[in-house]
Amino acid sequence: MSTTEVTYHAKGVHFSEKGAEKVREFLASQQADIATAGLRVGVRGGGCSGFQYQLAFDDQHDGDVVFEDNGLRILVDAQSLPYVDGSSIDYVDSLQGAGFQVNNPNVVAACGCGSSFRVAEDEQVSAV
Amino acid sequence: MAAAPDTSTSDYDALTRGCGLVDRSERGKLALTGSEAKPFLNGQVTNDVEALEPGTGCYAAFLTPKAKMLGDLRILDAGDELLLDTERVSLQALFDLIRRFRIGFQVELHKRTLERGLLSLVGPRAREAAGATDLPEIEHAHRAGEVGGAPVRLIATADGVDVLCHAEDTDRVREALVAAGAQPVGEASAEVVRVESGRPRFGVDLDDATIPQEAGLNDRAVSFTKGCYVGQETVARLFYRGKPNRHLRGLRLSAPAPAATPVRLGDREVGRLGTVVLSPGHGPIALAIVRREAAPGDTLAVGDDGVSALVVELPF
Repeated sequence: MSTTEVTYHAKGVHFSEKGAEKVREFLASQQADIATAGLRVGVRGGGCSGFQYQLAFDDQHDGDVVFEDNGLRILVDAQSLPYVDGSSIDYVDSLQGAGFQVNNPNVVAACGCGSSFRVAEDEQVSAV
Repeated sequence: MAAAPDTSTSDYDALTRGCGLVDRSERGKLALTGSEAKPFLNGQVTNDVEALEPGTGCYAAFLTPKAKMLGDLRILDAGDELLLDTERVSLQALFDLIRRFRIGFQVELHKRTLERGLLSLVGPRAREAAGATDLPEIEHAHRAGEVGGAPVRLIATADGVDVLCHAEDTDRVREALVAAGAQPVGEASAEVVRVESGRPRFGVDLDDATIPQEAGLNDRAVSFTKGCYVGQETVARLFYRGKPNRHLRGLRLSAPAPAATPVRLGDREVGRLGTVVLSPGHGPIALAIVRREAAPGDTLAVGDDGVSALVVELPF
């Protein structure tokens, strides 16, 4: 297994006002320490369009990139970063349900429910 | 070029009454390992991968988010790995899809196209020739075995047995199968038997405009209970609420014509020819995905040279 080191200038992941408020509320209700705990934002293969978001309250892990916004921490694993970089984490309360919503500039198409998405193509590697 | 290469009667006899051997080593082959290989692949293809047990397998399609086919594949659960094989034309798309969407899963992707040989035995005596008479009848059942002293995987198919081996053993395995009664035949001859049975092939009969239901693949390739995968919304909507605009049909031609020739009902183009073969029993026949106005019993015009085609249900 070879390792490639890359330098990457992240745009960062941010909260909307409502998003920050809900995260602070939740962490306070869990009596979590906002110096270490935060909202984890990641992606995983799956869903109707290929990728799905993974959102969770979590502590920092090795290899995480940490962004701070509104005094809160956003934890992103290195693999997921290129897919969510530049996103804004909002909280929406609608008839379809309430929850966090990722407004992601990398997305080229999303499925009907908005929980799965597609991004632009990357470099090609031969399959043979 | 000739539209339908002549099939030798001897090849056809072997494929339908004995055992024909077709080298399909050029098929695209991959393997997946890792503790999350099944849940990962389950989220990307149309059939239920998590339901597989070692020694079983399934057929599936992989789709765009709008449910158009990027390709089809066979998935075999070999216990410590999932073996995938696909048409060579869709190998790169499958590889790219896995490489791209495996993020967040414990799964490793391995190239196997050049590393493995694949010999298909077709015909009623295939199991005997492969030494696989004990193999369960159900399609995709498979087990490790030995042919000509080489380790192989014996896989039940709809019309015989596939023998998967290490690439360097392929010649030895082929010789042993021939010694056991298999007769080497050309791919063109095997295509006759496939078309007669009504099974479409991605790259000729199916392409990136095909939705699985149009090709009649729902029964074989799609699970409606497994949950979400790429393209699932459209597949489910079409199945529960819609009516496909096109169907895979058989065409009995008045004369051979090249693949991809447009076919018309009256003045309207309703599709193009897929695979065209000259069957010893049926004469020139073809598979084609045609618009639903072209129903079984209708006669279509094929190209501009006066060839006609009778639309029929499959199999022939």
